[in-house]
Amino acid sequence: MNLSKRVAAAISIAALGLGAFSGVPAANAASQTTLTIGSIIEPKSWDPTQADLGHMAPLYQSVYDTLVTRTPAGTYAPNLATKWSFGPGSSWLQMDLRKGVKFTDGTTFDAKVAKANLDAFVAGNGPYSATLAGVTTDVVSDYTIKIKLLKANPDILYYLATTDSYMASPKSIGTAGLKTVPVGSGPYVYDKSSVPGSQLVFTANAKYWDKSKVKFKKIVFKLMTDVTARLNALLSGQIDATILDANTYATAKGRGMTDYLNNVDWQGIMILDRDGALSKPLSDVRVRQAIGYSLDRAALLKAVQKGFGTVTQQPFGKASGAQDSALENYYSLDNAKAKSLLAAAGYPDGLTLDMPAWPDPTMRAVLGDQLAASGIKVNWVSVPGPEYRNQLKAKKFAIAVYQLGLANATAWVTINFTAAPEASWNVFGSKDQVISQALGSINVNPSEKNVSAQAAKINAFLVKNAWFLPFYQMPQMFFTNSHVKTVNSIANAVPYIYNYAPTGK
Amino acid sequence: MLRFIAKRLTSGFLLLLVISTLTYFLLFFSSSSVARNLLGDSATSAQVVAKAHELGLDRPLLPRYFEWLGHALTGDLGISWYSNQPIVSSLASRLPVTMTIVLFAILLASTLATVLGMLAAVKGGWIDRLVQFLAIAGFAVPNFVVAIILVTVFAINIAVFPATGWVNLSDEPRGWFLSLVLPVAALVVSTVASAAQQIRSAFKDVLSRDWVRTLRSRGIRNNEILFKHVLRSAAPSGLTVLSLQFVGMLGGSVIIEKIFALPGIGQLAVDSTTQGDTPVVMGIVVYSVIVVILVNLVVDLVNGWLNPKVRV
Repeated sequence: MNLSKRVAAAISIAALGLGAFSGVPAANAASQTTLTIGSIIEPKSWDPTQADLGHMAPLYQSVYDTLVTRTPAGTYAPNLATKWSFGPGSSWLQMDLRKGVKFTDGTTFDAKVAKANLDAFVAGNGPYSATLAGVTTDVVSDYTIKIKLLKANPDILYYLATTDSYMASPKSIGTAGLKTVPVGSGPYVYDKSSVPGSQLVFTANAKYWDKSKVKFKKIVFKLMTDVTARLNALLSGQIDATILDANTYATAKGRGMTDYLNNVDWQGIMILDRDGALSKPLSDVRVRQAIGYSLDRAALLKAVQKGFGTVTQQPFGKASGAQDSALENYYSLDNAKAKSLLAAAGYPDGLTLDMPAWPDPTMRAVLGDQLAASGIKVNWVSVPGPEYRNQLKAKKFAIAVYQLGLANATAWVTINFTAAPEASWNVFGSKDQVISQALGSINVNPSEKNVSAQAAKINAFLVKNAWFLPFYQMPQMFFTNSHVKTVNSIANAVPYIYNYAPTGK
Repeated sequence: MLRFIAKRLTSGFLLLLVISTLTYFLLFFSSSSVARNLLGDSATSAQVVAKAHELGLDRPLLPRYFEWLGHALTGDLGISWYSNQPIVSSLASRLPVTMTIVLFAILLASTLATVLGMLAAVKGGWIDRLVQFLAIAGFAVPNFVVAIILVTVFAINIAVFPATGWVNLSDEPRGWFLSLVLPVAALVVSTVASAAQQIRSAFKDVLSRDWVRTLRSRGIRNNEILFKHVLRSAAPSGLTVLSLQFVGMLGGSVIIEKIFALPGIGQLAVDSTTQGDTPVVMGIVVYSVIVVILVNLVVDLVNGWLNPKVRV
């Protein structure tokens, strides 16, 4: 958060404090038949091949059905696919599809349509198309498809439930119009009164096959990029639900809003260059471990997140089934040990590391001081915000602070973000026998039990070898007013659209 | 007069061409990896290369520029890389929001500034000191602070105006007016402060001229001197300040649009520049330059009407 945002939040909170004495209740414009959500983002494209997770999820879910849905607890439930079964070694997945489903343009959903959508997704070069790389789909009968996997994909249901199987009308697939106007079979219909960049309006789909999912007559997503605007809109009753942050939490809570805290991300250090291509010292595990022993995670959590969150040392979250409680204290703060590790590695006088300047000055100040106490000086290199990720991907930095949505991710998602040779954040392509053996085992036996067991080995390896040094898991802070309730969706920044309901108040 | 207008429009067109060309080339050299930003963390390097190809980012700069220019000259500014919306229609819906707020703010600010500036110059004493104090206070308090205080008091605690959002005049006139009040008020405060100072100085300068004394010595009524002669002579410098304020407000509206979640051009400008959405940035630059050229033309015409010497 930059200075002006901090000042804005402080003024807002102070002014609200003064206003509290006025005794005038906040405006109440909410209606049980309309759900108005303050959204920080809107889809870049309505084409399902470009679908994304997180804040985008409830928008796509409003108009599109997926084959499978994910429950708040993380299990998978039927949706357009009514039942499914896996072939030997999970080499294929056969799905029976729901009959009687129609798109809003009147087209009928069937196996051919499902195949057309999945084929388009694979070829669509969207943010998640790699998750179905090499997948082919066969039409077995009018309402049965067989999805054939090129290699083991233990999370195929997860991907089908989140980004990979939003079903668009076959008439719209591949058309330019689909980018701006969605045509799905979902519980709501995109309304022409929508103004992209301002608000998106959806009305209830009167012909929807599952009436229990249509809880509102209308849903409005108001685009609000500024957290102060979202806070003000929530408190004044203009919106029913939105995401806030640690600086606005107390104000919203103090005004009677209901909070939904959901640990989705962790913040920490990624040591990307483990082979010393860019920074020779970091190729020595003792240097990497010295950084681990220099961290006071509780102090970071208090300073940066105002105490919201949970300290952790493991890149794998609880939902992965790979966490080991013994690893949580692997690196307890010990500057003397850090110094001795540095000395043993040949750096008795400490060393200097270049790191891209994380936008939050508090993080830079506290982390810089903590590392300096062990003789590790950080040279914060200024990098424009949008370039931060790109420069890491371009191997411009060996080590960086980053935030990854892995606090409650599945084991397979976490492996593919952190450890696999082609993982999103294995940019230098580091390899190790522990990881390759674990991946080999998963490829042969992609059962949930084996994936968790192998992920546990990878998790322990990543912690002990300090490839990743998480500080804490941090909650997304979602709020609703008294008219609406919701349920957090595991590993997603905001609740799924199915999980909102009127409170009746 | 027509020759004057034609001359200004021609130079304006050349200015537009130069600025848009410079912007295009600057964006090329400063742009981040748009393809990676569009695809996110999970996409592979091969996907990023394919996306860059899809957007034409792997083509040489000059052919891309001339293609953009050719389309722009026919009124086609392209499609946003980030929203897939046609830029012309996107700007057509956003420009009126920003222009309405800025126009109302400048009209209100110019009226208040003229009254305050005149009062300070003519009456002097405590009114003069008050205007000067307000000017300093207006400078010192940023408009986003004013905006937050206004929202907190008038939208949340008293709930007479909406805290955020925009209503189209054609949809609901009352809602449109209510959605205008707080953003306009937030913009007006600092503008009035500086403009009143300038108008006060211009008035004082004109009031000290010999011809004003001559008019007074002829027994002409003070109000007639002030409104018919002094105001007309002092107006050009006030107009210049207000035209600069107008252009400044177009930029300053960014923060106001964020705080009030207004779908204006300012927020789009910031977002598209940050993301490297070149087609949108170019569209905004073209529209903004046209607005600035037109505002300056109007100011020149009014100045010419007020002071015939300017037309020469």
